[in-house]
Amino acid sequence: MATLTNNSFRYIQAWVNSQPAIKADFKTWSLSRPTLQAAFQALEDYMVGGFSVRPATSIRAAIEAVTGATTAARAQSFFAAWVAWKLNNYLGGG
Amino acid sequence: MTTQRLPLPLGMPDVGVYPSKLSSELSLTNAKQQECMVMPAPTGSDIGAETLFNVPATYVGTPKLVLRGVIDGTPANVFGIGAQLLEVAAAATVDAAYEAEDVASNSTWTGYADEEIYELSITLTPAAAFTVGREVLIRYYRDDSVDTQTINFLLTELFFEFNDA
Repeated sequence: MATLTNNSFRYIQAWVNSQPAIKADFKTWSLSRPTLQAAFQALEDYMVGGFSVRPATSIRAAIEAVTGATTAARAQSFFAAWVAWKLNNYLGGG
Repeated sequence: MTTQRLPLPLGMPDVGVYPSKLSSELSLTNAKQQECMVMPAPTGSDIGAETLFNVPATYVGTPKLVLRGVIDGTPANVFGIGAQLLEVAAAATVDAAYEAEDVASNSTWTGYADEEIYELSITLTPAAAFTVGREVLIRYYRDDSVDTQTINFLLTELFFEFNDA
C-alpha cells in the first residue's frame, strides 16, 4: 500500500475541487486536514491491504468504517476520489 | 487621523492558486460572475500569491494587510494567513529576501457559514518603518504550519490598511 504524501493529497484536493458534486459533499463536512488525510490513508490501507477479506456487510460499509464517512454519499465520494488518485498514480507513474 | 484602505491587485498566484469567478466555484442559485482568486487549503507548503504596492503619500503608520473573500465550504478548524514583505527604494534591487513573516489566524466561526464573506487582517511589522513613495513587494499565503482547513477561500479583495495624518 502507498503512503499518501502531501503531493498525493494535493492531487486529491485538486481533483475533488474539479468535481462539483463531490466537492459539495466534502465541503459540508468540515473535517480538518489531518483528519481528512488520515481518512484517505485508512482507505488506501483498506483497499490495498484488506480488500482480500470479504467485508462483513458491504464495501460501502467498510469504507464508512475506515474513513469515518457518515453517509453513503460521503463513502462514495471518498471512493471516487481514491480511485482518481490511484488512476493518476498508475497512468502517470506517480 | 483616519484609517484608510488602499485596494491592491491580487497579484501573481503560486501553482495551485488560480483566478476564477464566484459562480464557477460555488453552487449559487443567483449567479455571481465576480472575479476571485481561489486559495486552496495548503498541503505541506504555504500557498498564495505575490503582489506589490506603493506606500501612499498619506501613510503614517499601523500597516495591515487585509484579505476579504468568500468561504467555500462549511467553516471550521483553523484558517491561517501569512505575509512577508520587502520594501524597496528607488534604484535599489528587488533581489533581496522577504522579511520575517507576519501571521494571523482564526478558528472561531460562530456566525459564519458557507458562501459568506469573511475578512482577516494581518498586522504588518516591517523591519524599518515604511517610507512614503517606496515600493513594497508582498507575498501572502495560506500558512501550512497554521492552517488546518480543507476548504477553499475565494479571495475577492486585498487591501493595504494604514492610518493617515
